[in-house]
Amino acid sequence: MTSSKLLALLPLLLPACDPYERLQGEFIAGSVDPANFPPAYRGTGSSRSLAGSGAMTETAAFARGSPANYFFFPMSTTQSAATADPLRLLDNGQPYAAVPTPLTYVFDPTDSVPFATPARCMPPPGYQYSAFRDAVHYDDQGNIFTALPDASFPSGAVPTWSYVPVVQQVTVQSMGETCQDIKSANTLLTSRNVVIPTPAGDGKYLAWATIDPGVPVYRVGQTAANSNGVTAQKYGWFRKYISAYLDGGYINTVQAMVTEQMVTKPVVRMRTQRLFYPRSMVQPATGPAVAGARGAGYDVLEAKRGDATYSPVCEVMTYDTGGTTPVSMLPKDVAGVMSYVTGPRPLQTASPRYIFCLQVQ
Amino acid sequence: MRNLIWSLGLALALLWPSVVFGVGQEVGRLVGQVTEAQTGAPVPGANVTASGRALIGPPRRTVTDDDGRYEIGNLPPGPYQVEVSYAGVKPLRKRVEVEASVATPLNITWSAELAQAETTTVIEERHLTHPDTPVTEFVLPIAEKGKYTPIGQSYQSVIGQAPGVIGTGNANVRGGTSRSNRFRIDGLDITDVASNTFRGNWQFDAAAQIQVLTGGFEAKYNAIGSITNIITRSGSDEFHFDITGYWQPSALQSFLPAGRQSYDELRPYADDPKPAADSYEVSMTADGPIIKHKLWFSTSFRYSYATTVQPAGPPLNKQAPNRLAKVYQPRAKLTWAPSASHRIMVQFLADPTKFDFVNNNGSAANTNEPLAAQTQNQGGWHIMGEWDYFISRNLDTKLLLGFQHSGIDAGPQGRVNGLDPKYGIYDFNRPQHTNSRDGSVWGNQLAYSQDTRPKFQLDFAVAWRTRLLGLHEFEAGFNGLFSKYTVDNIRTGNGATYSDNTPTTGELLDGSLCDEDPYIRRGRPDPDTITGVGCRNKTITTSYHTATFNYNFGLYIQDRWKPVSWLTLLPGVRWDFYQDRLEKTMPLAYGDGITLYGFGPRFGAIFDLTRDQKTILGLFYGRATQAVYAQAVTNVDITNKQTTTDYTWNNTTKMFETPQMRTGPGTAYLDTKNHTPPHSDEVLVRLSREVFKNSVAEVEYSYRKISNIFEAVETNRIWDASGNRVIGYVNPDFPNPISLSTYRDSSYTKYSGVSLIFETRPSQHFDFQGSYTLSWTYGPASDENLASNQYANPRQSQYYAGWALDIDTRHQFKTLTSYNYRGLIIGVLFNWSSGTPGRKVFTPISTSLASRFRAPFGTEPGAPINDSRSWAEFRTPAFFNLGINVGYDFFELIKQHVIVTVRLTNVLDLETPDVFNRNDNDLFGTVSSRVTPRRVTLGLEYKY
Repeated sequence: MTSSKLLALLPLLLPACDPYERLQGEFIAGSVDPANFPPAYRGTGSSRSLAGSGAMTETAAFARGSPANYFFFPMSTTQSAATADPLRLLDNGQPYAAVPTPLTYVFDPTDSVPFATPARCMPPPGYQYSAFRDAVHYDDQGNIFTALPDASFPSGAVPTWSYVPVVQQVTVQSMGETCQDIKSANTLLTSRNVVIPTPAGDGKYLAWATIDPGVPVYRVGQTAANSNGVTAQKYGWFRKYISAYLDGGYINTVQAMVTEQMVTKPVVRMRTQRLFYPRSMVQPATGPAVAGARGAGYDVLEAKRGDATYSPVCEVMTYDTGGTTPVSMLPKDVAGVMSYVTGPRPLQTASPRYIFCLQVQ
Repeated sequence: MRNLIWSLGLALALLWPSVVFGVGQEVGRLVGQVTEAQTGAPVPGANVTASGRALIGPPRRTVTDDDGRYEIGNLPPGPYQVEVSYAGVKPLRKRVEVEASVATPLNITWSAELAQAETTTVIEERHLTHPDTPVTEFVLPIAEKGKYTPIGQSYQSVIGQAPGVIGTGNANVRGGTSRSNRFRIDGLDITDVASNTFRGNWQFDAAAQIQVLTGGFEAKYNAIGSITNIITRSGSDEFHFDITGYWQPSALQSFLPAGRQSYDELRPYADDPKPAADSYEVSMTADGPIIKHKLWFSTSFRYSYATTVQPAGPPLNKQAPNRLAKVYQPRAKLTWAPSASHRIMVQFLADPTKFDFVNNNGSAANTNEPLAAQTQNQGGWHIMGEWDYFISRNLDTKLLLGFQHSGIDAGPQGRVNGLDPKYGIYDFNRPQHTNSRDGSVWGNQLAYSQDTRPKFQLDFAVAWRTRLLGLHEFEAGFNGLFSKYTVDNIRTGNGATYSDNTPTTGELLDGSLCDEDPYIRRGRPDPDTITGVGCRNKTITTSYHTATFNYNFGLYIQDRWKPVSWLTLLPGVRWDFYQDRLEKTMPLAYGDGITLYGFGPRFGAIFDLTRDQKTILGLFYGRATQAVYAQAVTNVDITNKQTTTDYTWNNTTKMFETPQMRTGPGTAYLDTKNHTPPHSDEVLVRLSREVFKNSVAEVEYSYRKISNIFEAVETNRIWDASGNRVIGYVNPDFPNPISLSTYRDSSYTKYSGVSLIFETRPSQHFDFQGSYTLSWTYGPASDENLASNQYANPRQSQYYAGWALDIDTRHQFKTLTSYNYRGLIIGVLFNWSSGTPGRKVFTPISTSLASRFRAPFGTEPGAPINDSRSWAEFRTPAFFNLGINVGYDFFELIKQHVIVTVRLTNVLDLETPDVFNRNDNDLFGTVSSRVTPRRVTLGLEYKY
């Protein structure tokens, strides 16, 4: 063999070496950084600079006489602006700017439940989930988000944000894709292993609140002493990052015609349910009597998750019991609330009037 | 006919000299061919004799074979005169420089004119191609070059000058970790038994050569990174004496008061105090004959004294005492050649080193008050002997015996080396307090630690040369190391340490530290007088004793087979047994030790493409393995033996309560089952061409994967999906981290690099070595972390982009030049390297360890924080280093070698940042450290 032939073989001996080979394709980029999440989505007591430093606690409430607990999120600052319609989703057929509802790719939802059970993706052979080993369940497919909570934190002022815990569903039909192989919308939209019938959205809205993936979530009765905080949250993907969210279910909508600036146009709004709490004094089991407040454990909701009238958006009303009432004597259903409503003591709209009240299954 | 061939072969074999060993002092050899000038025909039967000042005993002789070829082995590196003679004609002489570990090619063209000439011809020959070994190396001759170039006067600096090597000292060599390298002095393995890192600093000019082998290892070598051979002076038949003094006066040293941002300029009018930076050293070498040709001596001694300190700064804002280093390095060596068949060498070396305030060259100067300062004494002594027995021209043996004893005494300045009473009365039983608000440290160091590291070495090799379908040089050898590593750690303060929270930020007086400590509450012995001010956490830690026995045994076989004159094949293999066992009196629940078995096949093929040893193509594949080192085992022992319990202050009861165990029994285990040892698989391709006389250009490609790197893997904590919180334990009855020290398959690094190398020595006056390397390094390993970090947890490791990115320096340009003429000596070092990626570090809520990485994370201002598409490499700036050494030898004026030198490093006084703050906080991206500013060293040397 001549020298030149030997030299020609040299390139064949050069194996490739890519320092970032593990960062190619659909790698796990870590969990989303919640530093810019509005405070409510990081949990109480959180520090922006330390992910997972807050705590998210479910609010005890009742509906039809039994517990109907919910997770509270406030309206966004843009939603709460005086000129905004806080419930409007579509404005003359177009997305309503004050209430952004980004697309979210939902794998194999049913008419009433946005999750397929079991998942239709392909798990690895013989797979069994290990909490020690696996960041996510590899026998399931996380839904794909296209936006995250994002607030501004002006120096010396309260934060502002437009994020609302509402997303517009885009149905994704599994076609045998490997579970959790798809971790971003970009990859999803080019995947041959799924079908997306209506890429622009199904017209269905979900109350999905994206939260700090590290924040412990405590159901009613749970604390750090008796729970590890991995309870109600689900995990999805945002641009290859692991995201976490609370599922408040589908949001029913209503259509209406409004006239604004001399123009009459159709709008689509979120349907609400009412949430009641006493504005009169209540007597806790211990300690002095205090004014009634929302979120204190005796809120009453009209509907439970699964009811036809359920909504994760609540219109907050107050009632007056006419005196100091022990907490144990407060009503646990709407009929009980209405029994206190009389001419001198009518229902009153609370401030803020609307909140998100996600009942999570 | 067959008998005739065998007879000829045997006769020829008997004429061949011995070969190169992997045992003992590194030696080189001469290979070449004598041909007739006009016809090119080989000249058989010519006498070839090599003599040189480095060679003790009679000159080495051989006779060219039927192809005119000859080879002379076992030559100590240095200049040689080669004489070729033939009956009835004048001899022809040539000078060559023999390098260690490789063959120096020397082809000689014989002509009738030369044969009839009355005078001999002396020609300087320095072929730099390596015609029959795949090894890649960087060699620095010290007396001729190293001493007069601005390379740091240490073997650690020389390592960094080798092509493709990243860093110095415990450098990263082709994907290797800082523990992947081996270090030897004349064959004595001085690699630290505890940590697999370099041990000791040795007198630079006591070395004749420093050789850095970086790849293409034949079976006699075993390292997954590099091998550094310090080849000490041996003497000669001439007496030589050299005494040199170096002085680095503080007044001439630069100080760079630069800002914290990378774009900050120097602040020339800043009134920051200039820190001390004085140092001086005296080094002496003397060597020569005791009995000419028979017995040589070589001695050397170095003493150095250096002070430095950080200028006063927050939080203490008080000038700390200087760090002081005193180093003593004596050495004595005898080389004896009682006959042509024997060569015996014995050598003694020592390096006792004493430090005061050892950490005051860093941030500790401003955080630790003198009572809480750390210091250490270290060093040891080595004795070795080597016996080379040249049984016949075809059979040689080598035996090396060595014993080393070294250790480190580290602990509080007041305990180890004493403390000036003006800093306070030191009391070993006083606990340490750390003010968590400002990081200041008071009262004491944490512990006093004494360790010892005796090591015994026995190496043996036999080499045999024969003919069978070509020429074979077989070498078989045994390497044996036995060592013991013992640590006694005694906690100060009777085991108690406090992490306080003083009531006022900036309050520095120890009177405001937690007065639950009787030392703080002095004068108030009654516990009822405890105020609790500043009390937050208290930790009780127990003392420990640990010891391990380390056994490393290796066997190797290597053949150098030349089936035809232009091809050399190098099949080889080695087997290694590595064991590190804990000293124990009963079986240990967490494992008694680790045993590894290494298997390392090697194969090289060297093609002499142009048949004149001027164009060499080398191909190589080899697997090297690495021993288990003591700390990998003792750390598990210590974690189990040293119970650490944290207590939290209860301000109501005025007591520390709620104990929480952090380390102790059951928190660490050794993975004792048989593992594949750490190993490297290397593919090497090298093309060398002698482009001019004594000048070679090389292209070298190396791919290396280093696998099964040691890690302490966390096995108990269960983390949530975000990796921020611990949400459970695999064993819920034992809610503590548990680490498993193992060699898992998923821990690896990959290296791929191309080096362009040019070396030229066109005359005795000029010498240039330069290289450019383009390389990539990657891997998920965590650099042999000894303590378990959470990224060693399977859930966490996916967020960890790999320690190897830290050494992913893509571009490196290195040159070292020396020039001398009529007494003028000039040395120039010109190095440039691109930066390395800087990963952003996140702190999980469940631990204070900031080691959850994302990399390479986008760091451009305003870049979206949750968009992996915006990730960009965040690299430290490119580093440029220019050093100049200028000297003058007054020999021409006074006929004595009196040499004055001025050595400048970082001539341009660049303030390039080399470390950035990577933590995810407000300081992210700010500069933590900058390169050493310009240093000026004055030298005065007398040489005889």
